Amino acid sequence: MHIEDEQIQRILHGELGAPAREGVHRHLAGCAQCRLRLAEAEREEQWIFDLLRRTDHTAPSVDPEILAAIGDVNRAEKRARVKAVAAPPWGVAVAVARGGWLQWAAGIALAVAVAGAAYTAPGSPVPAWVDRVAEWIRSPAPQVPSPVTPGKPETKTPSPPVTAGIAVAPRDRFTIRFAAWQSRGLARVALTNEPNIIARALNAAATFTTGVDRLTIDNSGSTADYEIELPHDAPWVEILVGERRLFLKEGQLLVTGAPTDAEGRYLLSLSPPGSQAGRPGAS
Amino acid sequence: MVGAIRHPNPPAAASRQRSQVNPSFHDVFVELFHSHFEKLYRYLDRLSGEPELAGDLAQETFLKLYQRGYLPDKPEAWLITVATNLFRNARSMGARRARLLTAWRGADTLSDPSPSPAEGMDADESRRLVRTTLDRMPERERRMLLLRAEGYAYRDIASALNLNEGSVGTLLARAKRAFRDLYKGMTDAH
Repeated sequence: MHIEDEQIQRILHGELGAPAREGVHRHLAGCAQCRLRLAEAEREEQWIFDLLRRTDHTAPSVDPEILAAIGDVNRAEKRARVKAVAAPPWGVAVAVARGGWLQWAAGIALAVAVAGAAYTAPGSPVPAWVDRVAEWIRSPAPQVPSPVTPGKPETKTPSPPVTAGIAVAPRDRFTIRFAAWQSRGLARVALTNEPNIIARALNAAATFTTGVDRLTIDNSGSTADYEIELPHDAPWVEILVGERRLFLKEGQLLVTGAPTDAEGRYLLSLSPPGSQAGRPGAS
Repeated sequence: MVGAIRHPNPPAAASRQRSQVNPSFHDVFVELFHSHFEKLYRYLDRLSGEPELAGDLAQETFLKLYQRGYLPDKPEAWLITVATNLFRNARSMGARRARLLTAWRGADTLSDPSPSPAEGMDADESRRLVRTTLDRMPERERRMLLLRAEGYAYRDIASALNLNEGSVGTLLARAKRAFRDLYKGMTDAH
């Protein structure tokens, strides 16, 4: 009585439980024919796997963060039908100029190409993904109502025209960093019920760079004002200029020296402390 | 920060504890991607013979996992099953094209002049023969062989192919015999 193919394969692949394994080893110790069959099975498998390796191609280099960002886009679309602001691909630095949505789409398409996705392969879903992200970029920034402070009459300040914006999903800890101080300009920070962190440059161009847990705003030489919306549910968010923290949200705790406006938004000055322009309201 | 305003409400401790108890799905997804993407790609590449399609399907599989939002009970089996279903859908759209290509590959191989015994088979020829052998195998045996070549466990192979786990070894042995017989049949024809 010899061991069967099932057991030969299982002993080859370490798929036998301890009791069965002991029984097979005992048999092999006393059966030259089965030992030969096992050796032959091992040789045959190596030969087949070597042949298979000859047909291999190099796997595309894919950043899982890009897939995650595309997944976030899909999910946000499902939730709110294109009007939702979705998270763009991580790690894609985009420069936005007036009417420059093509640069966004090009940057994203480049990221996809670099990731090895076959954009042009027949039946490829990749073009549809890129189109959805490009569509988000083309769509105007959503109108979000200003927060209302309970007990105070609603006052609405007309928003200046938006030039550029970005939305990112909050992580356990998230840092928004302005690269440099400005000669003038404010970042208005509001807490919202939106799911994503939203940052907008209001009256000048800006470069937004996202990472896993950060958003960097390259504002060197800029005098732009910004709007930043933080979800109430975001666990931990800090806003820095360089290394100086201006604002910290830790759960429900807010730590900042900034005053608030009539709509309850925190007004963070982007001018160096001590400068004349470093006070909100200063021209 | 000078003049800090503090809202005296509960906080941080709760959110920190929450994040420790429930590690982010995002992080788990990234880890699973790094450990499984290449082998899933390789399986699809060998299954389809089309590296671009394999790349798309592998990415689409992981995208579906991310959109799911939580890990399935058997992540490896889930990935294989979804990837294979995506491949089937893609293949059914191009089935006629695949048949024509396979026939072309086979005809080309058999009609090429044989290399001299001293030279042996060159790399392209060998690749073509392996590709043709895979294309001619019964689908289930082909998939089983390719999954095992990527080191998938028997339970995952059984789950993905809807088999009794107890018979995976036997079927694997058959798959290898099928490959060997087909391949040697073509090389002997040279």
